[in-house]
Amino acid sequence: MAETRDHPQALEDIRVLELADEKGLYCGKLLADMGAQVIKVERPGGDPTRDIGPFYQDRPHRERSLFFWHYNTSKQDVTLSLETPEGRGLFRRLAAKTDIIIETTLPGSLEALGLGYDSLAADNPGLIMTSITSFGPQGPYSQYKAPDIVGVAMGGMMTVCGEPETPPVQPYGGQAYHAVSCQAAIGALIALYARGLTGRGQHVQASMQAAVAFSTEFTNLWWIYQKLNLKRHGSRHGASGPGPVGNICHTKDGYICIMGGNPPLDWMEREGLAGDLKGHPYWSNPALRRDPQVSLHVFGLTDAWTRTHSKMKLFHACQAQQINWAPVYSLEEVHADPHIQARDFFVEIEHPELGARFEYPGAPYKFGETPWSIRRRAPLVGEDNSEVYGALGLSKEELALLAQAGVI
Amino acid sequence: MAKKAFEGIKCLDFGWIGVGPVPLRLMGDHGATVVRLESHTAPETARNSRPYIGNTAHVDRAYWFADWNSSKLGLSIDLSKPRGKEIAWKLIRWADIITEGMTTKTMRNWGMDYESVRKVRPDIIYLSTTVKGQTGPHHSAAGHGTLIAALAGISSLVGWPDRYPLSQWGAYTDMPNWRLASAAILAALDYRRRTGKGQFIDYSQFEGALHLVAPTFLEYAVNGRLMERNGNRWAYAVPHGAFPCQGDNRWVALSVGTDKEWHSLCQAMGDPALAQDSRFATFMARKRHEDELERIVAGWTKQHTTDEVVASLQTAGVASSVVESVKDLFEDDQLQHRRHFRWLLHATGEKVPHEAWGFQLSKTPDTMFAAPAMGQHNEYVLKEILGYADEDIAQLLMDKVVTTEDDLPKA
Repeated sequence: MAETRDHPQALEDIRVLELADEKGLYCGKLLADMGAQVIKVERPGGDPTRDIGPFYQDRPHRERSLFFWHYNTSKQDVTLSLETPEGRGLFRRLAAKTDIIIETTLPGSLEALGLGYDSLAADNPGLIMTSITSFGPQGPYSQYKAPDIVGVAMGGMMTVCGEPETPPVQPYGGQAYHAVSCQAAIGALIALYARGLTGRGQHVQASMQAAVAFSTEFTNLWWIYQKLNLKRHGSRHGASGPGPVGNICHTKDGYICIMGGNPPLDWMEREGLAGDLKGHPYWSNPALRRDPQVSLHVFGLTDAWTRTHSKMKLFHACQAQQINWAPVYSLEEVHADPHIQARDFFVEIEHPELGARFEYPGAPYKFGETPWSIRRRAPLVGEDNSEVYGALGLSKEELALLAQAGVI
Repeated sequence: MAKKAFEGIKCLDFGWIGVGPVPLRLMGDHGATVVRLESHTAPETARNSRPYIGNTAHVDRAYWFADWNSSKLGLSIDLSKPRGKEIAWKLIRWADIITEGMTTKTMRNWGMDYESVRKVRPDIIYLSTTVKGQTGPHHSAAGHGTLIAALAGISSLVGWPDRYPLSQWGAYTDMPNWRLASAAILAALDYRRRTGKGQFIDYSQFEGALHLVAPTFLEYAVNGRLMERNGNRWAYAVPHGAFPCQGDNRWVALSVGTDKEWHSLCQAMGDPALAQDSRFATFMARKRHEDELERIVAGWTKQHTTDEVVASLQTAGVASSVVESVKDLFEDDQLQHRRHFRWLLHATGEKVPHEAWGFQLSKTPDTMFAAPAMGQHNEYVLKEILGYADEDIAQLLMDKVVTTEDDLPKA
C-alpha cells in the first residue's frame, strides 16, 4: 500500500514504538506521517481508542472508528499483553531496536512492570522515551483520571472559553490531547537531535496540564500584572484587553468573523444602517473600545447590518477593501473552499478491505524536500504481528502459541 | 553529554507575533543562537500590546512579546536601507534556520525569499508561514488566529447550539500552529543532520488548524454528516460538562462514562438511590434525560466548593477538576512544582515570568533566558557574530541603519 515516492521522508529511518491512549495518538501520527516507522502496540483484541466514534456508516466496530482511523495513519500495529511475562519480554526486545518510545501509561506503571526508562535504556543507551502524562510524573494529581475536559479545565483554557452568562465551554476537538501530543513530539525530536551528537538517549516528560497552560495566549499575565482574573467574553480576541463584545456577527446565512478591520462604514451608510458610527470617537479612542456600553452599541449596529448580507458577499467585498473579515465556515464549506482545493489539502486514502477510498485531512505543512504523506490507512488490530515479530526471529509456530496464550 | 541540544545551531527570526517566532524560541530555549531581527521603525503587534511589565506602555515592556521570545538576541536594523539589507544578508549566510511570518510579497520584495536565499545557503531550513500558504488563489490573504479558527470550521464547533459560535480565547490557532511548525523544523533539522540537505517549509496556518478538528472532516467525507456545536456534551459521557460551585464564577468540569462511574457519582452526591432511578439507570436512559440529570448534578455542586467536589469525585474514581481561573493557574501547585513560570531577569531590570514548554528533558534541559529588548544585543551581534568594527557600528547608528528608541513611530 505504500506509495512510491521520489523523495525520502524526513524521519524515514526513525523507529518508534507507541503505547498510547488518546493523549498520545497524535504524537505518533505526527512522526509517522513524516516518515518514521511507528509500531503501535495494542492490547490483544485492540485498544479502547478503537471504540471512540463516529464510526464508518454508523456501525460501531473496532475496525470502523473514524477517530481511530484519523489518529493512526501510517502506523504499523502489533498486539501484545504487557500483563504476561512473555509479553513483557517481547516488549523489551522491540524496545532494544527502537529509537523513540511514546507512552501514556499512568506514572510508575511501566516501572512496576520492569519496563521503566532506566531498565530499557540499559539494553539500548540510545533509547528516547517520551512519557505523556496528565500532570507530570509526580504531584498530588498524578493518579487522577483526566480526559480532555479535565486537561482544558486545569490548563486554564476552559475558564476563558465561552460567554460571560453561560458556563465555561470545552473547546471542541480534544485540544488538550492535541496540545500534549504535539509538545511530546517536539520533545522527542529535540532528544533525537541531541542523540545525533552524543549517541545517548534521554527521558522526555510531557504534561498535558502544562501543555494546555502554554496554549492560553498569555492570559495568566493579566493576573500577574494587573490582578485581573479574566472571564469568558464570547468570541472576542483577548489582545486588546478584556471586554464584553464578540468578534463574530450574524449574517443572512450564518456568521462572519469581523476581527481584522473596522466595518465598511461607507457601505453601511449607503444602506442607511451606519447609525452614528461614521466619525464615532470609538474608532480613534482605544479607551472607548474597552467601554462595555459603547462597544455593545458599535457591535449591535454592525451586527444589524451584517444580518442583511450573506457571509460570502461580506467576505469578498470586505477583502477587496482590505478589511480582513472571514466567514465562519461549516465543515462542508471548508471542504469546498477553492483555496483548500487548489492546495490539494484533502488526500484520498485507500481502505482495501472495504474496497473504498476516503478523503482525509492532509499535510499540516508542506516540505520542499521530504514530503509529508499518509503511507497507509490506520492499521487493523495486530495487522503487522507476523512482520514485526517475524523480524525478531519468531516463527509462525511460536506466534500461534503466543496468540493462543493471549500474549499477542 | 552536551548540556544544550542545539548548541552551535544558528537561527534568524524575521517573524511576526507567534507562528514564526515561537519555534525559534524553542530552538533558543534549548541552546541555539537565535537573532531576532526587528526595527524600531515598525514594531510588531506583540511589542505594542497590553499588559506591560510594570504597567508602563513601551515596546520593551510588552509582556506578550517577552513570553513568546525568550532566549533570543535582539537586533534592530532598518531593512529599507541598503546597509540594513547588507547586515541581514550576512546573517542569512550565517544562519542554519530562518523563519518568517510576513505576507508572501514581503520577503520577495526584500529579495530574501527562499529561492534567493538558497542560492547562497543551499542547506538552509527556511520556514515561511502565512494564513493560507504560499500558493493557491488566496495565498496573499492576511489574517490572524481568530479569523483562522472561523475559517477552519473550529468556531462553528465551539459553543452552544442556540447561540453564537465562539472561539477559544485569543488567536487560538497560533498556539497549535507554532507547535506543528516546530515539529516540522525539527524533523527538517534532523534530516539535514543525516543528509546535509536543507529545505523550504510552506506553513499554512489554515491547514494546520484543520488538524484540530480533523475527525469531523472524516465524518463528513465518510458518512456525509456535518457536526455542529453542542456545548459541553459528548456522545461518550453523561454528565459531561462544567457545573457551578460556591463562589463567584467557580466551576468544576466532570465526565462520567461508565455505569460504575455513575454509581460513584451518586455515592459522592450522597444519593446512592439515584443510580437505580429508571430515568438514569442505563447510559441510554441518562442520555435521554440529560437536561434533568445536569440540573440534579448542578444542584449538588452548587452547595460545595470546587475543592470539595473534586476531592470527593476523584477519590471515587470520577474524572473531574476545577475549571482553573487565570489566578488559579498562576497559583497552581503542580505548575509551580514543574517551574512552569520562569522568572527571568529582563532588560527592564525586573524579573519577568516566561512560560515553559510543558515537557522536560532529562539530559538536555532547557536553558531559557529572558526575551530581548528591541536591539538589546546590537553590539554583540554586529561585533562578535558579524565582525563589524566599533567605528562601523557607530556609523551605522548615526545613519539610523541600526535603529534606536528615537526611531519609534510617534504616537
